[in-house]
Amino acid sequence: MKQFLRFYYWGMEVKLYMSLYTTALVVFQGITEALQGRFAVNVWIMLEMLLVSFAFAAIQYAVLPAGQWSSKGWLAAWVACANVLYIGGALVFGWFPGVPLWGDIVLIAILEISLWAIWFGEQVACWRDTRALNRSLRKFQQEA
Amino acid sequence: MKITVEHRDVPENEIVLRCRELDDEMLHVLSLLRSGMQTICGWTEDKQMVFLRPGEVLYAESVDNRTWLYCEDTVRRTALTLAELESRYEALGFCRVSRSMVVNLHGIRQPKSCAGSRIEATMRNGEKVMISRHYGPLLRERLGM
Repeated sequence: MKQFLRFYYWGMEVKLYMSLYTTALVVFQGITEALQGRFAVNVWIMLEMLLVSFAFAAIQYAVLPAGQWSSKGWLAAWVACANVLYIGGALVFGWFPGVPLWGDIVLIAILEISLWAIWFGEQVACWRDTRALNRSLRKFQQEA
Repeated sequence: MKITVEHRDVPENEIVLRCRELDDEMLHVLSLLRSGMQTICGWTEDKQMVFLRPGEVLYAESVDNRTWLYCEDTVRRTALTLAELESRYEALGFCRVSRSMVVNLHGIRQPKSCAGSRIEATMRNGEKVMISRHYGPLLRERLGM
């Protein structure tokens, strides 16, 4: 039962991030297609994006489990995995056909900014929570 | 409630509570007074018994089925278990923060939120204590969050 619950929790976490990453990929694939006058997204490409996102979410769960976001080494490993999987996936599976070189550079820049934004979001959440914790602790200590 | 403090030349400090009946307010005052007088029995490395005020204890840790009390600059051993410390001194701010640790909330100088609902607490003596993800919500509840 304990093993099942652990697996279930793992599934919940991985599915959440897999969905987020897949949605972002599909949105950008849709934008690049629309800019080229095509208004359809290939089902196989979506499936490939889903599988790559699943792999990345599983790696993220392994290298950055809850509480490890401040570890620089694991953070670097996470960034490296994201670059290898998503840039590699785009090259191997041809996710963005017809996109010129400058478009590829923009997409890579968006990937890097998105990774930074995920990390920054974690930091902001921690800062806000730290402030709230300190306020509540002072109140508790003064009331006693 | 009327509070009067009399300055007299008496051999021993005395507190007299005068009331028609023991209502909730008076019971609270009584419990505060009693808890303030409570001491935790501990002993030093050379088996010398010492009595500590709960407020002196920053946190307690259980290592190899032995409970250690960490004060600002000393460590004492006690016969009490973590569960006993938690239940007896809960009203004084003792709070379970992991399976092997009870922290005095009045001994925390600064809590810091970490990812994954964990909390790193810097104690008054500068030591850092990690509050696990499982016990984080309990601490937040104690702090009224």
